[in-house]
Amino acid sequence: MNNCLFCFCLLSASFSAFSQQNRITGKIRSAEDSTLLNGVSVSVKGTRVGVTSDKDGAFNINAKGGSTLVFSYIGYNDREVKVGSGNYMSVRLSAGNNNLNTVVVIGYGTQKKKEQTAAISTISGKDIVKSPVSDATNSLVGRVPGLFSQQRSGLPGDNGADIFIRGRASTNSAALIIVDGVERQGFGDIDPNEIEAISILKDASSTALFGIKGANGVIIVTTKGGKVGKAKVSYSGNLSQVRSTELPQFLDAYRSAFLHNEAEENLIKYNLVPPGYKKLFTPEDLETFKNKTGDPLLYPDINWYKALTRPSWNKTQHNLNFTGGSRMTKYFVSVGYLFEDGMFKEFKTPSGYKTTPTYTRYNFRSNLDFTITKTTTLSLRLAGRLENRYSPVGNQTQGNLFNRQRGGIGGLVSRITAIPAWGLPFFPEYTNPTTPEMKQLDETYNQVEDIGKLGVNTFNPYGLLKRAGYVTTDNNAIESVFVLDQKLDQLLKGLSAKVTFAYDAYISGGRVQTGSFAGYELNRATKALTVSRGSFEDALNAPGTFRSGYIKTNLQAGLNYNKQMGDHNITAVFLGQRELRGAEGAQAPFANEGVVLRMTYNYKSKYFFEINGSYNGSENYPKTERYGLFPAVSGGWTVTEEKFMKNIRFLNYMKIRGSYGLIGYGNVGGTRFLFLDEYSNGGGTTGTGGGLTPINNQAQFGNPLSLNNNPVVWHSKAGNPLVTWEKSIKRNIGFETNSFNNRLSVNVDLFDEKRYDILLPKNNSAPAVYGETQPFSNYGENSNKGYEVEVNYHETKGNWKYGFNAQITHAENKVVRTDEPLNLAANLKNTGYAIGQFRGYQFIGFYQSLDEINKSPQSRVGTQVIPGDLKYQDTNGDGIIDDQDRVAIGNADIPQNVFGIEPNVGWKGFNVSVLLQGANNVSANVQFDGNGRNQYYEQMFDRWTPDNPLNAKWPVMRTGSTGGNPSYVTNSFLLQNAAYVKLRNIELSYMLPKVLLKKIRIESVRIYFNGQNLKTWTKFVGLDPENAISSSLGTDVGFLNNPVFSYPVTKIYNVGLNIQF
Amino acid sequence: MTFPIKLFIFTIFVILTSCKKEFLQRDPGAPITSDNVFSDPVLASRFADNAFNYTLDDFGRMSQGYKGTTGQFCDEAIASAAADSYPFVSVITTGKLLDPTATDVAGVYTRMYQGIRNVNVMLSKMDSVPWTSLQNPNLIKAQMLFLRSMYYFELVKRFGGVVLLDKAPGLADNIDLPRNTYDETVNFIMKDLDEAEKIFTTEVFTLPSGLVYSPDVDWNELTLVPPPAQAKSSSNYGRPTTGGVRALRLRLLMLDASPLRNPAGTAAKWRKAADAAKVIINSNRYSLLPNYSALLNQSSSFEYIMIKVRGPRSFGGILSDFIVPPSSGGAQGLLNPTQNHVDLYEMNNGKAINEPGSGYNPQDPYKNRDPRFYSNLIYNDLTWQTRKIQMYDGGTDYQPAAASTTRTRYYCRKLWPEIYKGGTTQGVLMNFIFFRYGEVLLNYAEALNEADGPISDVYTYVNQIRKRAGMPDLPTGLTKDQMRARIHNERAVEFAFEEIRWWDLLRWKDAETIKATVNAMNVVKTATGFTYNVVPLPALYQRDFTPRMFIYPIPRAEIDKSNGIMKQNDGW
Repeated sequence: MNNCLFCFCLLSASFSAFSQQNRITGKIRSAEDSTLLNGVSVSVKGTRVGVTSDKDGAFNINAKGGSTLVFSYIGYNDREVKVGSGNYMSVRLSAGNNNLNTVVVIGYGTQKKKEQTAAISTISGKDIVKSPVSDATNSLVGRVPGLFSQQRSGLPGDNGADIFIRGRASTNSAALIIVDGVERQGFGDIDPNEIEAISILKDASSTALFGIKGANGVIIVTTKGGKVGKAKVSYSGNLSQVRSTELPQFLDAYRSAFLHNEAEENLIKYNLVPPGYKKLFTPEDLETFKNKTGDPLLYPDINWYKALTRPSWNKTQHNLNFTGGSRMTKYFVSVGYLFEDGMFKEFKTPSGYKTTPTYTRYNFRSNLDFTITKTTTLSLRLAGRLENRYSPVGNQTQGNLFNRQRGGIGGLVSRITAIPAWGLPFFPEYTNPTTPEMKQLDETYNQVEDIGKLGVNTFNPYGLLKRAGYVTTDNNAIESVFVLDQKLDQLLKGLSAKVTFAYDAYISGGRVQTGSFAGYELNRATKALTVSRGSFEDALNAPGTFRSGYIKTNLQAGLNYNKQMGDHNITAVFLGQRELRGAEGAQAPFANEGVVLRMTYNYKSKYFFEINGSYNGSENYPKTERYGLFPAVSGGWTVTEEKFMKNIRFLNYMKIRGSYGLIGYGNVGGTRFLFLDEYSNGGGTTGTGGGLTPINNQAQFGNPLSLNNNPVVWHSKAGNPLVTWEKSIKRNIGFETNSFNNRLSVNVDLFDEKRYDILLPKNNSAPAVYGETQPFSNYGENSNKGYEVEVNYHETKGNWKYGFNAQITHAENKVVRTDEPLNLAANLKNTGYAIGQFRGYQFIGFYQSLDEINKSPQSRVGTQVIPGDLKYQDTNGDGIIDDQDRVAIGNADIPQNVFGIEPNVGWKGFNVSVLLQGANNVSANVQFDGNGRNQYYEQMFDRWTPDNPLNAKWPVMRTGSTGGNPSYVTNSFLLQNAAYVKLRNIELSYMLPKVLLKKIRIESVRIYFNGQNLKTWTKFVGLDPENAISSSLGTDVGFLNNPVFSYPVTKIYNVGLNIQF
Repeated sequence: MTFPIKLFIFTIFVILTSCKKEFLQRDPGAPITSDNVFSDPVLASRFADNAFNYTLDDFGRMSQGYKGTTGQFCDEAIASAAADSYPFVSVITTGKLLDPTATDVAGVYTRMYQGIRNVNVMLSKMDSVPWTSLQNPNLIKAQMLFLRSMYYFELVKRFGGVVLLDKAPGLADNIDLPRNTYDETVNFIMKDLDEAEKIFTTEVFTLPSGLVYSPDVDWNELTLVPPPAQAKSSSNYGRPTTGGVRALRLRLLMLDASPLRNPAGTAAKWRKAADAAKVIINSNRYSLLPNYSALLNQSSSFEYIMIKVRGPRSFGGILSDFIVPPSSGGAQGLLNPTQNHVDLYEMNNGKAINEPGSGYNPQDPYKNRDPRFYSNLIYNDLTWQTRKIQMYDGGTDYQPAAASTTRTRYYCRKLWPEIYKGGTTQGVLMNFIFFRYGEVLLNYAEALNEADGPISDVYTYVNQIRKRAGMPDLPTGLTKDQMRARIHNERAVEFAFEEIRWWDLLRWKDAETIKATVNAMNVVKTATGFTYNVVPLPALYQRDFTPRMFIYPIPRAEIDKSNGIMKQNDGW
């Protein structure tokens, strides 16, 4: 449809041109695969004469000899060819993004790149499928300027990247996702083969139309439509091998026991353990571990990670699609299948469930466009999705099933990582038992637990994997969009009307079955095993199930106006939209409605002026405060259209643009209806375990043996009748240039943002004497500013084709006003620092002796310090080191700078592209402590000892079980620099020569190898630096086994095949 | 017009006409508003009942709901993991009272003001609720006043003078308020208590059934002898009555008369406290439960003045995760009585262990002790849950490598009814007692001794306590100082693990005892028996106490929030 509009303009333009000219004919092909290109616009430079190529790639145009023809086509670089003496031309266009006539999808419409005054980046579907990932969010990483991302987990079905557009201006930083013109909750689960292009809207001008939802930027995904031409069948299949990018290095039993022994010696030496403390290992034990001669029951040496996980696993993806169309009907029909396996070994379980998590997805899409009458088109976008996520339930018994999947695996991984090699025995030969005798051995010898050595809650991880049960969840979605477009030229030339209706239905369901398993205690003297906990219930408990779903409707209706009057070009979009999204459970649905207006004007494609605005509202606010006005203005000046620029030959194009506007953001961390003041009736009942009565509990009186639980009424929500949305004032200035015959393009954007009226509670700033939590109010303020630079270079020379895309983005945010006590010490204030800035103790050296400890300010951090512990700065100089001495250390938990560079080279059918992507000015507090379970890691060998007093890379050894380790709190010594450069993506492809294929009636065959996250260069130790970015900025060092980042991020090696019939 | 144009116009029409229906009015159905609550006497009285939820009503409460007692701040016990990953005790014992994780400081401060708000909102609405004959607004008012006194008492006991509020502040009100003085706070509490007492002692009303109902008596119906012919209100057992009001007043007056708040030792203050105790004694409502060891496990008792009513506990929470160690099937045995506490138990002949002629044998230290020793403690070689406790090096019950087992070689029996072991589901009552008669007696004796010296009444009431425990009377002829020492010792033993010791030591300004080296017992198994050695615990378990800690600091955040108006306590 977009093409039609665009063609329409060109065609009408062509009638106005008349001169004495030659008739030029020719054919246009793609430079890569020689396919004939249909719909390429061909125009005579400097005139308005233009035509488009037909389905055989042929064109026919009148042009003067010596004039220049400009060929432009979506997704290809513009090409200019001088008209010579001949009347026939064979033109090859190479793929690229520099085309100024490219039609870009923007909010509620489309716009040619050269007409844009807003900051918008696009990425084509072709680039997206280069990344063999299951979640399309990962394909954007490193390819779009202004986009920050973090992929924190590798769990199948839950491994998408968090995306922040232009960094973070508020703690609520999720971008708005629009798919085919309609808001959706995400796009990661769309089959990447269905995606035509993604636009990232970044500034006020492009996002103002989304008003109350737009302030964090907008990601617009457009799916593929049919193209006029004969039916094409395209199949692509991918087979991937998946591995973890980085794993912590566990020590073998001897080395781990050696460190534990040293740790215990330190504690004894400094009187930190009670009298009579017996070390866990005797020198003979250590010797036995060293010689590996011990009884494996008494002297295990198990790398639990290796024991339970496999080095690699598979992922497969298939897509089959049909595309084609006539003047009347165009279609794109696609079916996709994805299967992603998980890292755990497949153990035979007594109750028959699988022990490895998996993700299975079926995608279906049917995009149809009908030309009903000369003036009427109807488009239909119908998509369906069936997703299944399966996992062993691991160690999470509460919460909804989706959280149990995530948390359960996290709990399982945390048990695995926590257990030192000497901790528990494991006999792989007893696993997958085939005889009752073996089953008996498996159930006892592989189920040992040891609270004494490893601390509480150290369940046997093999038991958790094999007997704790499983959880499976299904997610089904139907998403449909109907668009009716009616030209209304008979009313007013250039006017058309458009109605969009979207209807989405989501159903999710799931099942969990848990089992219990016994823990055995080992008597070291007799080697007898006795049950210490639980029992085996190999028949899993009765399943728990859930089913939930909601429906979403969206209606948009409006008018488009498109008029050219001499040198004046005017367009306008005016529409109203409303959306109703059901909520899961008994909550009220989400609703929003409003009107949007865009007016653009340009003079001779030289001076551009644009107004965007919306007046919209949401159900989330009080009646009087529901609607807001969000206006933006923008302008552009194509300098190269000026006469005085014509002499600068190398510069083909230069535009300066700027925008300014006000946008809102209304979704505050899931808390709704903050204006309502509410009381609740009822109350919980005290658990029988005791402890302080929880607040809002039923009041208990009467005979304790026959209690009266009296319901209570409590003030459950303090309402603020004036609550409103976050607001953002955004400014943007951009420079775009194309030069050297459009081979090089450079775009630069400078932006800043003031985010204010941020909704915050007054938890930290209101005195407690108030007696309850004060309602949220709009008082927070943040600022964000930065720049983006993007450079594109593409060159075609004979059979060679090469170029690169490079980009760098810098965004720095600052908290201007937030929920902090008025007189908080300056070193503790977040104000003035970035959102997510780490704060901790400043390391100033190691305590070298007891004498030094005694002479230093008194440490109140954790337990008593001993020589070799980290010495911290007494920031406030009060002679005591405590939490008041913490200062900003390192950076924030998301990067300040990201960059990507993607060079590519092609020769005939071969093509290679390599994407390097990196980030810096980012910190992570994940470190390797034993978390109470006595695990030790490789890097601890560089510990402080009296013999290594100055260059130690780790504080003095203490046992994991003494906790409260003063050195294991967030501090500048242990905080890691999480900057990295990744070989994010690589693709080698080969297009089979046409001549070979013609005989078997295959249009094209492309085989490729690609990979994702293949290599990481970083100073970060132990885990993938993205994986390790903690979501908690607390005072403790992030535990390695925190569920948030426990499932390693993966690298993917993929081979694929693409066939077109 | 063509069909599509008609369709378009029709659609626009539909959108425009549907706009009237308040498309954005989606907030959840019918929320209960303030007006709903206070125009409905049932809802209003439920709102009043919610104010009970802010009491400090269980033993373990410093962390994760059920871990950490105040006894672990002083000489009564330590937390085996005090220094480990559970900082809920070490934060106090190492003097980090300003740390935001110090729940007994910042947590209690916040919780008490939440309770006070609930009370104040209720009091301000009393007149607007259309009460019926099923409610008695005066009784609700009396309970609210009692709770407010209790919350302010918890504050004044910790912080001294605090911000006094008799109305719930509104959003627009300035809440950066200066603290009231200690005296103003005490007077404020006294006034509330007087008013509450007046209502409780006089309020009598007739139920719709015609029954005459006197809450002060009838709410204690479970303890009435003989039981009433017609039940009136046993379902209200556990609500405060005159006894509760008076017991709270007595605690306040004891605090006010003690060295911490009465440095000059003014006898009048002590006499006031003694009088307050005597009123309760003279009411003849209460008596001592004969069996000391079953003190916490009664559904009702004449000794209970007010308890937290709570059903039988199952094995979980405070029991399995705080009291019972892995060796007995629990997860963590974090409450470890100290040797210092053990040494306070006299021999059953009434002599202290270090007294000549006591008969104490350091190599058989658990023999012939005050019977309360056997009720309160679990020690080496005790037969417990059908087996012998092995506290010796290498014994099942002493595993010092594990963070969650005893460091002192004792566990607390008072809070560990014997039926609780791993794998069982049985439960019994283990009541948290707000006030019991035993405390009134020892308060009386203490106050009387301070006011008038060791007169016979002092002996009478201390001996009542000792007699119940199975101990001989105090020797006669004690000086006032000796008597004070005996009463202090008696309280430590009698109220062990009942959340009283720490507050006693603070009001007595007994830094020596709090700071004293914390000892453990070293037990070694020999061929013939055991050897016992008292040893100091590692520095980790020792107390870092300075005099400023007698009065807690206002939470640092509260000072930081204030624009210089809220002043910190001296020394902090």
